[in-house]
Amino acid sequence: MALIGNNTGYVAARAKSRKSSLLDRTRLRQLIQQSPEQLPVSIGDNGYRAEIDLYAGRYTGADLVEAALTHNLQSELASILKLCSGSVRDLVEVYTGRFRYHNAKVVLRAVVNDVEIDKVRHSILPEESEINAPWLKMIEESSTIRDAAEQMRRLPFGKDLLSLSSDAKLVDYENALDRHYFKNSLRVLSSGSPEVRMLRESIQMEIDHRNITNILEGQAFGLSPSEISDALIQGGRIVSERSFTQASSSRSGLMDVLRQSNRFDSETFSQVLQDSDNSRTLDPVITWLRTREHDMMKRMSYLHPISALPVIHYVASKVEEVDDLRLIVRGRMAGLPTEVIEAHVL
Amino acid sequence: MALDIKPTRSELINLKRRIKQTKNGYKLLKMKRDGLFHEFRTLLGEMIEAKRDLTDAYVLAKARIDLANAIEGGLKVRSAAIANSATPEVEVERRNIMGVVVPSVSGTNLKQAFGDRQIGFTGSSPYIDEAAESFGDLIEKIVKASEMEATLKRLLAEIESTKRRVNALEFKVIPELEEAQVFIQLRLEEMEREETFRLKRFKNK
Repeated sequence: MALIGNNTGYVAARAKSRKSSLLDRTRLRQLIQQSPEQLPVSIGDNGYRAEIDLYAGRYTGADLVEAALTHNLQSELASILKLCSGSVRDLVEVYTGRFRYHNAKVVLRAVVNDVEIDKVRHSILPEESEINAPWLKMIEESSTIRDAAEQMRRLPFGKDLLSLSSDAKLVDYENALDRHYFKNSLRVLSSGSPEVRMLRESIQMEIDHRNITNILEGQAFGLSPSEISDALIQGGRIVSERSFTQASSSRSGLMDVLRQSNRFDSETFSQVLQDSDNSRTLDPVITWLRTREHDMMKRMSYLHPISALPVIHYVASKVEEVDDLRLIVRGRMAGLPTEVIEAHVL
Repeated sequence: MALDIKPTRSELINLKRRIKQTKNGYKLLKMKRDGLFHEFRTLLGEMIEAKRDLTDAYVLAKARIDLANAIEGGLKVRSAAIANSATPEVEVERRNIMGVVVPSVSGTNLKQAFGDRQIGFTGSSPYIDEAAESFGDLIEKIVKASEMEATLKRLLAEIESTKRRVNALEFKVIPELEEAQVFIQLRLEEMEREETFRLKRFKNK
């Protein structure tokens, strides 16, 4: 798949321009210092005014800001995808498409547990966003999880959901969705050009990180090695399929697998694991892994300036901005210490 | 003297029997009060420990849910919450501590094992999972602490009422009965003396 083709140059230029208008670290640090009451106003002044006004009648506080940020992100991703055409669109869609998997999970969960549509409409998938309308319709029109899977048959993951047995549970559907995302992404990124290879590597890194997190979490919660191994995703480079059994057997087994890779700083990771054990949470591990992904994404955009990579870097940066703003608002309103918020704002 | 009594021998015998019974009752109530108090003190120590655990569990659960809300977002946290159809249920039964009926609280679905959760593990968020685990612990501790608190309140109420009864017997009922006994004894002695004197006068005539 050629990265340069169609309107790649144009989209890359637009993405770089949009990226320059994102909030920088200094501005985020200023926001951290603001009082919780000031934050919605300040965030509105930073490009989210229209969405905050849209939701102001229904939500207040952190819920208002989060709904506005999510709406803005969905619109922005749809808009950047609209700009793309041809092969670049397929690549960018790998990143923008991941958010629909979450919506699909919400639909399945709501249908399985017979959650009232109004509850979903008001608290999870706000009806003010056009993007949520088809998902809400699916909930209304489905009475069983199979019905919901039928409703999703035209979506990229529809076939995978329908291929599950009739007695499959919600867990199986959710695992199938997560597996499909990574499997499909690796399939789209299978050509041999250097840019696509980089993108593929970044997805593989994400798979590895998810697997490492799942192994550590499974071990912390006392799952058996086979249960952990079943939940791992194929396609990673560091924790490959043949090392699943060893990695999920014990902490030392995982470290042995990680040490075999020259791409992974296992020494620093050991220290991070130590911090994680001391604080009895996986937060230090996840933060460290996220920083790794962020650094890789940054490097990618500088190496191939006229390709889909700057667009994907912009998408990732936009997602990060929304995550950071949400973290600041929710954190400040919940009274989290400033140091904790700063540590998580990348 | 509050008691309306007739100074007769049969009344004296009745009164002596009542005093003996009252003193026995007083001793038993005093033993019950001491027993309840002992039970209360033992439970109080456990309750203080349970409350401390409860506070720690609450602080941890609150910190974790705040972090989960901040990092994953409230929408994702709520979305994970609707995936769980198992509602915690609490059942209250009765048990007896030294005649005091206290509640015995047990619960089902208070905490779900990680493997029994209905959301997929492959794409789950450790922040949300850790928060869910902490809230499971918290609910278990709330149920335990609520049982202990209700037990302590019932015991305390019973101790109070027993203490009032003991005090009433010690400082009111028994002294009044004893006073009445003394009064009858004195009155009977006086009547005896009067009778002797009357007999002597009758003899002299």
